[in-house]
Amino acid sequence: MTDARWRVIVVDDEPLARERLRTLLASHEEFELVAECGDGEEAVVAIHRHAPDLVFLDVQMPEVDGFGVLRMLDESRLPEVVFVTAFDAYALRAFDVNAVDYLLKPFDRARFERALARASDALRARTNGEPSAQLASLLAQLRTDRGRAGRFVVRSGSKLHFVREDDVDWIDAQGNYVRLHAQGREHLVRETMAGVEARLDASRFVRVHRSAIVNIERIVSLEPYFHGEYVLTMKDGAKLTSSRTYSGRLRELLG
Amino acid sequence: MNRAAVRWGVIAATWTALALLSFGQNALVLTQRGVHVALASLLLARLADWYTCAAFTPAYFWIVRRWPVDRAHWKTSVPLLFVATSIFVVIKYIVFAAMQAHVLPRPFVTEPTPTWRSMLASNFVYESMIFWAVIGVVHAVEFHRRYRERELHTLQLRAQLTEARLDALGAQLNPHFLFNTLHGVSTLMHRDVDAADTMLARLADLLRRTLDPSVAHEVTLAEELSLLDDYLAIVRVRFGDRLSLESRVSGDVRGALVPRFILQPLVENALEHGIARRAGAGRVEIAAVRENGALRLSVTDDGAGMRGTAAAPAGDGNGIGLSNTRRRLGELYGDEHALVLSDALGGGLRATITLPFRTETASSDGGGT
Repeated sequence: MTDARWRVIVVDDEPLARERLRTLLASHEEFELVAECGDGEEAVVAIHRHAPDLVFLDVQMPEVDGFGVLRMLDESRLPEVVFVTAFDAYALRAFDVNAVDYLLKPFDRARFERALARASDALRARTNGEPSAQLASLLAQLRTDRGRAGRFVVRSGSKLHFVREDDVDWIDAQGNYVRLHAQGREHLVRETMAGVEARLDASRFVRVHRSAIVNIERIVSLEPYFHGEYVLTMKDGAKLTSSRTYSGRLRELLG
Repeated sequence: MNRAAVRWGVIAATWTALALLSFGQNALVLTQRGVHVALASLLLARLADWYTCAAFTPAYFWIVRRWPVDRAHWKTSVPLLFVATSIFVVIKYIVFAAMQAHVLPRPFVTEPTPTWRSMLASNFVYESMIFWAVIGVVHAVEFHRRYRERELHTLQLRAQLTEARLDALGAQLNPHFLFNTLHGVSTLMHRDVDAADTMLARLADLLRRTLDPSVAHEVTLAEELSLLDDYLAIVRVRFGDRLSLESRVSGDVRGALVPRFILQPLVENALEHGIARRAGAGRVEIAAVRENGALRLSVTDDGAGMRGTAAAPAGDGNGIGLSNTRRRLGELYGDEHALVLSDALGGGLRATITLPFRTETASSDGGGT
């Protein structure tokens, strides 16, 4: 382990902020900067591809922020993360509660060195690539406080791509996967219906059946069927039947 | 509504007090003279006398609100008030005499009922003087009300300027802006000391100008743009190639007066919608043109356009942090302004402000408060 270099990725939307970390890392031979990313999606792809040991992750970024990145990562192989933030009351509280290390901008070399030393200790202490308990508890907190990442990560082979929640018309269950129907295409995502339902915006997505969730903006028509059930016609032409158990929520949303 | 009720209550109470005073005086004089008088009947007669005057109070308010005796209206209002008062006095005595003849009990059994003509003949001047006193009081109330309104308007303008300054300050002291800028300086220091210097100087400039305690509501467009330059210079260093800025302001409009801090909220809004919400490069365009006596300022981004501003209906600047801007424009320019949000050609959101075109010299003879 000692001769192998730890692989590092730096994520920040401001070029100057990336430069700062790059410069500071340059004097540490045991760390190798493998990628720099300017936004959240880029970061998710880079982390998937490079499987780094350590990530410096900016919290405030356009579209997908630092927490969004964390949520989209494969939980079984999380890197160590040092968060970097200018100011975010929520983030600071979350870091303190979960004892996750973070850097406040601007920071000096001494503070950076301390963060790096802590990260090195954590990496050395790792067994079987298990993520630190602190990161896991932060992730758990994020799941309850800030449920939505705004997009799905779809893995096809070794490639990753993203499907925005806005683009999803409807979703159905497929064994251990859920199938997203978005813009005329289908994507399989490894998740449960309950998990998907919990993370979606409840004012726009509604579960109509044990195995179907619809985006209410994409419903073209709704016909009463037997026993308080409905037949939904979706914008992409699909016809779905709502079951009675789930019809109440549908009626409520459609007013 | 409640205030109006209180006001009319005070007016009614005043007239009643006058009637009671006059009743007391009459009763005292008559008793001293040894005249026998039914006090209840005397009280009713006095109340009737004064209330028939009181009945004209709303009419005076109505007249004075439209034609007050002031520098602008006195040539109309003085003759009008003379005519009105004469007519009111005549009406008053016709009604009062009728009441005495048919309704009121007679306080003095001995005297014959006077006709309205005889009452009018003996009391016209005295009664007119009472009415003119009413006119005086109504003016006092009206002028006080106007004074209060003007004061309120001034206070509102001042409060909005303060609010705009706080907004501008808030935007610069926005922890993200401030700390990211300082972080930028901290980075530049190691590579390019001069650039770090410049960035610090810009930040100091920006803070100093925002903290300037001047009370002027308007500045020239050139001044407003130079404040914006400081702000944008910092943003540009931080975002580098992610932000492209275009400013199209012709020379003939640079001297035009605009409300202080009017542009920054619009530009921030554009940055927010244009680049901050999206990865990749963004573009913001600022333009100012003169058009038929109006100044048209516009800030355009290349973000998601109206679609990106959620529920804000077309042409409505509320709901995306522009409500203070809209209110200030309304106070300063009344109906002569417009703030419109629209989709720009080729996508993006455009905020357009239209104002009366004025320059510093032209504005000295009017417009101010």
